[in-house]
Amino acid sequence: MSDYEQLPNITEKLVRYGLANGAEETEIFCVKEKRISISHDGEAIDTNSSVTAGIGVRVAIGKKWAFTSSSSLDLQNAGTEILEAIRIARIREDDPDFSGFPLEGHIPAFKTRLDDLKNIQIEEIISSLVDARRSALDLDKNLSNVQGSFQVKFGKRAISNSSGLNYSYNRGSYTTSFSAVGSYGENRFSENSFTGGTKLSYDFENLALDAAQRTVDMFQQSTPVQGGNMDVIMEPFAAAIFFIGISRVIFKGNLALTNRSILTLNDLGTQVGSKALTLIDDGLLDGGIKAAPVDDEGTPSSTTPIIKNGILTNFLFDYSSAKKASVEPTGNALRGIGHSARSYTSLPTIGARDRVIGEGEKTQAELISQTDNGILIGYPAGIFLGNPMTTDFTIFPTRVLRIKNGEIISPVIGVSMAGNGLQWLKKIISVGNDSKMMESVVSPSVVFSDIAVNSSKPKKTGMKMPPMMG
Amino acid sequence: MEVTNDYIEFMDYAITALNQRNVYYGDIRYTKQLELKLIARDSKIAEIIRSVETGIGIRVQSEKGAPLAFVSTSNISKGSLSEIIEEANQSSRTLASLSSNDEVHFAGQPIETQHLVHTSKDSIFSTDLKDVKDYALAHVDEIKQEDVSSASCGLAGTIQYKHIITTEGSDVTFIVDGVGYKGDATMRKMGKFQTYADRKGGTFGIRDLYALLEKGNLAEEIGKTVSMMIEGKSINSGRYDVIIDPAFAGLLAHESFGHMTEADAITTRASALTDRLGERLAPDFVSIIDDPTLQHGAWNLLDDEGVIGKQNIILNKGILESFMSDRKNAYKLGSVSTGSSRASDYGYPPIVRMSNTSFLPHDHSFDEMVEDVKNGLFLKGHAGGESGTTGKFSFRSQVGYLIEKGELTDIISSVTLNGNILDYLKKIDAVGRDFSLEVDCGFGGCGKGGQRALVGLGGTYIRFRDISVTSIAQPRMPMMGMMK
Repeated sequence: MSDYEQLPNITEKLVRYGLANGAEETEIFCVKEKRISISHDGEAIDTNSSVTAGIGVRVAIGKKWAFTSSSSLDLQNAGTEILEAIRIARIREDDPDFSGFPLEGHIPAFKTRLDDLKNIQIEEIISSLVDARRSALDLDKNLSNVQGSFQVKFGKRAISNSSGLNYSYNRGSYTTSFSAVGSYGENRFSENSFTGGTKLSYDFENLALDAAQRTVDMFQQSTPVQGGNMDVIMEPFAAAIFFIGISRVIFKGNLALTNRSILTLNDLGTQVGSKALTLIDDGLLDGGIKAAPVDDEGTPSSTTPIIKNGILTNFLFDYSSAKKASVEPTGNALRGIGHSARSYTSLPTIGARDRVIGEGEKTQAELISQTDNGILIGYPAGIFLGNPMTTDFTIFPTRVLRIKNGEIISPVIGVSMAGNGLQWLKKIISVGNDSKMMESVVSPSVVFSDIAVNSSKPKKTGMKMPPMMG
Repeated sequence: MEVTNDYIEFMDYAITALNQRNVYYGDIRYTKQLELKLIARDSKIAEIIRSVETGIGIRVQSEKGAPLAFVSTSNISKGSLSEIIEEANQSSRTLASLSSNDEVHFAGQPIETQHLVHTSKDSIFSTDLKDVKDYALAHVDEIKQEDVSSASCGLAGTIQYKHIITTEGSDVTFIVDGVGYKGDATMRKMGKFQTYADRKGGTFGIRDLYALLEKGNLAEEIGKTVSMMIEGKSINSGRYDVIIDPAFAGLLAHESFGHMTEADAITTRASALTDRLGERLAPDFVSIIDDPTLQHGAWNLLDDEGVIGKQNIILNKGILESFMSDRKNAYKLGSVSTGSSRASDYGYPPIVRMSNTSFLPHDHSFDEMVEDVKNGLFLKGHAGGESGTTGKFSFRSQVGYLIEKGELTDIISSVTLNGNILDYLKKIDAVGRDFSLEVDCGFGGCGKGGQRALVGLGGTYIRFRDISVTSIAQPRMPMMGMMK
């Protein structure tokens, strides 16, 4: 039996060990995972490969609970951490919000296919990265670098708890991204491209060319834009980043319950976005980066519409917040969010799974052709600066193309926009049919109407200054 | 933290395995890291988390000039090590056969044997956890003044041990501990919503941390600040003279300038400072350093290639004088490593990192800087932001004040500075003489390449003339229920 197959035995044994040593309730989360990353920074290609395994322990004595973790699967070391968790739990006061661990639920039929990911051909990936990078750099002499990276991870997770839940499952995904950098006049521009999931693709060249082309688009004489209200089209990668930025907090059920978010349970059924907007949190997305049959507490995964045709339909819940709100958990208890890359080292907290923005019928070209006065924007830098509780933000996109009478006329620099994310959701007038994935969000181009655009006086561009190569 | 010698036989096994395979270069890094975090929120303990991480990371260069391959495992056994060493050797050979890029070489020779210890007598791990818990609960009560709707106090500690041996003969160990604090307050009042947070920490013990919190009367200060911020006045976006405090200055020095001077950004030509050594970037009273030796900052004296660090003057009196480098990139630049190669732990390869990056103090008192501003802003603390190696950045302040006719007047709501650091450096006209450092231990740190590092940010007060400021409207709670 391989190490991977032993995980369920380990979790079950350790739950019994916790109960035998003073814990009234015990939960053991165990993971073993292999990660391989290959990156080409323009100078050198690096390969990193790691095998990580560990356990996360939650124990409770009445309503006193504690969490410990260890990178060792050795039963003796794991036992030491369980005893440590019991010692810590005894020190603290009761937590009135603690509501135990989930019972075993009906697990949806879902299988993560890891064969492609486990059998990646390192040589093929390196060659593809090298070739893709070379093709992208050939696009324009003002591109100073194109960097590419590929990462794959696959492994097994097991969860057991003293409520009788025992489950193990495969988990894996890959991501590929490119970043292009170049200068024109005094200005430097950079754009990214991304793909990922469980359905492995070796088509790196189009991805690299995409990042490069969107950077090269800015290598032209820019024109000043008069500040004022106009339509804003976000490209798919940009729109995905926008949705990640504004939805970091506001759809979490525990915060809605405790009034720590701008949206509360009273807002369910109300219009929070335009009719063109549908946003789904999908724990079972076919090929998705975060797809798995259960969440990291063992609750069955589900497909949860958050906003449907503009109406707020659901919040995201883990086991304890769902119990408190008297609703079913949505399978959104995740570990390894935030600073910890290793899932077993963190407590499960509410987080989004893969998110999908509903598509429309028009191509991006059609969206542009229907815009009389607007801009097309790339990466909305600054979106993570805002206040996630209220969704207020300011953005400073660097790739901005001016649209007049249905046509792109020139690049623009020095553009910024300030606004409120929830208010912007109501300004969506159209979505494209050109969805792309960026960091577990799948989004098409999105058109926002009547947005206040500020513009500072642009710097000189053109060829008065020699291009800075580097 | 108890470090037993059980792992040594596996290090010996690994180095023997590398030598038997005749690899050109190899290094083996064992790390053990213990972390503890306690968060009190609103009169109760929200979380107590403890973790222990141990493992071995190995870098292999199969033949002279071949690319490096990195492998790691948390399973410390001969079978596992044998497997990953073979994988690394094979990967390095594959890369050498497929890559047409420059060869990889190392600059200089690291030290042979060194054992460095920087630990306190009162780490959080040797302190009674009950006392730590009681301190955090009392601290939350102090933050939670009359109108504060929610408050929290987090206390964290870490101990890291590492042992590195290389096929060149280096054999070094390093142990350091640190503590960190994060306090925050949230307020809702008359439809307005506001939050404020402060952080402290460094490579010292918990009594020093408590002293630091009490010296600044920090709990009370956090409560008072959020109460003032909620009344903050919105200003118009536009151009102002701006003074930033050491915390905000540290963010600029580290994020927008420091990352541009990391050697990997230079050799890949991603940085706007490539090929610009010796160029004047700022007036002659502006200097920026990176210093791993600061005892009360993030002490990082020995890097993960076994190189001892020292104060590195990057911007010297306005002139770009140095970069931060590891051995690999130093070779490409024809220089030597600055001891800036670090990894989060065994599971990650060492990459170029900063330690304590800051503006050097100069001659102005804070009052003198304010007196000389007719219409401006004083920005205190930062609420994060984004930047890249092109020099462009956007950073948000936490608290701000109007300066009118040489005096601090109204408190203002959050604003954003955005632009290019190379333009900003030219607009500095005064540098303060005070110095302070902020270390985010356990509640953040610097992220790069998927890794986190303990770093110190800080410096002194900096005054810019005529820079662009973007106002963010005072957050208000829309009446969502009215939209049914």
